[in-house]
Amino acid sequence: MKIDITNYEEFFLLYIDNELTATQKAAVEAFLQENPTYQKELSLLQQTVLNPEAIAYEDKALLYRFEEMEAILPNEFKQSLYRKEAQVVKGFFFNKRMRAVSAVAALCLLMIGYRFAIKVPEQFQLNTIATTSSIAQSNTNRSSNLITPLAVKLPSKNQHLYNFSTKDIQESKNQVAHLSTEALAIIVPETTTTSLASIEKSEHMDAIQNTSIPNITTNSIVTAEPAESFEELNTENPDRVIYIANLEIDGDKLRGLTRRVSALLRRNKTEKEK
Amino acid sequence: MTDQEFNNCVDNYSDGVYRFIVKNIGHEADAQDIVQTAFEKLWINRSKVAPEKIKSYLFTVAYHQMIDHVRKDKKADTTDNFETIKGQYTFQTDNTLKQVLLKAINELNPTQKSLVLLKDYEGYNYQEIGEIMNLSESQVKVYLHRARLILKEKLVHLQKMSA
Repeated sequence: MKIDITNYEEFFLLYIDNELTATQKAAVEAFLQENPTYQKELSLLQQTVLNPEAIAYEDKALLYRFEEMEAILPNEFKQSLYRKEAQVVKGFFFNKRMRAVSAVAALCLLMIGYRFAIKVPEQFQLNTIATTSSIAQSNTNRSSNLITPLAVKLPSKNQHLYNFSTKDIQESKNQVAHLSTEALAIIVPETTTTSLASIEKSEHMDAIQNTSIPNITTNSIVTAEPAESFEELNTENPDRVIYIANLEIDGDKLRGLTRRVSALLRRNKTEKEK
Repeated sequence: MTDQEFNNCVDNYSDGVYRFIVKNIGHEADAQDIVQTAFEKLWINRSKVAPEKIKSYLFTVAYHQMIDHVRKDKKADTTDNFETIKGQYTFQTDNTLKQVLLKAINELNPTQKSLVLLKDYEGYNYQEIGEIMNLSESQVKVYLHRARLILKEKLVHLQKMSA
């Protein structure tokens, strides 16, 4: 491309910007040789080129990277950050629904506890008559003192009795001991020991069975499996009294309670769905 | 990229990036922030930046950071900013050629100013400048030539006045 007076300016600009090839630069210089008047023009353009200043970025150290920057946390510390099961359990109780459920459960426990506290003597009597009342007839004064007040209430409860398997008792003295521990150990351990002691002292087990069992069970005796010490009798009581373990619970109240619990759960569910 | 390689980049390029930015916006602390951001981005993207492109990557990031910064600054303060930028580099009144030129460059529009600075200070060619400033090569050429002619006119004018 030939440089002439129509296009020299662009070539000058490219020249000062150092964007020309060696041959193009030579062409520009040749043009200037031929047209010296344009030398001033080029000089002016060259003056517009800014010479680099020495401006330094002072705080280079701020930009440097150091190995410490990628310091890795020790494993023990990492493990301390892990989510633990305890935290999950905590979360479980913070769940709205679970909170309601646990509140209901706590209420039930409270009520059972209340009943338990009030009714223990009667319940105790219910469960222990099978062994202790019979022992009372054949044994020492020490055990009969304990048993006598319990046996007094027997007639009123005779519809809902839990009964021992008489066969098992007859078969083995050890079996009796086993059954009575199951029946008593949970409720009043000290009574168990005394009654067990009484049983062991007794040398007339057959007599015990014969005298005690008929007294206790007026209606029906359900024979339990060897592993079970009790069985609930279905007597179709109009009072709707329900026994859970050795606790007497008013059937109507329990039904009301379960209805309230289920209503609460249902309401929670619908709220959640909303 | 290792820490050492990165630190070498800091040594080699931070001055140039800083000079380019501080000459453009005229505010040292802000320019330092922009340089810092550019190097942070380089470290974050170190796996994506080819070694031969590191310098222009830094300039590109810094240039765009600067544009964002100027935009924010304009929103916050529309009137004083331009005056202070001009003021910082024109308070010296000795009419040496260099001072005259600096004054003239400060009166260019921001794009022209960046073009001149990238060309004269860093020696980038049109294509590289285009990559940094997101312009085509011919745009760079046209804008830069226009800026040169403006500067030339100003120099002629000022020289006539002082003569």
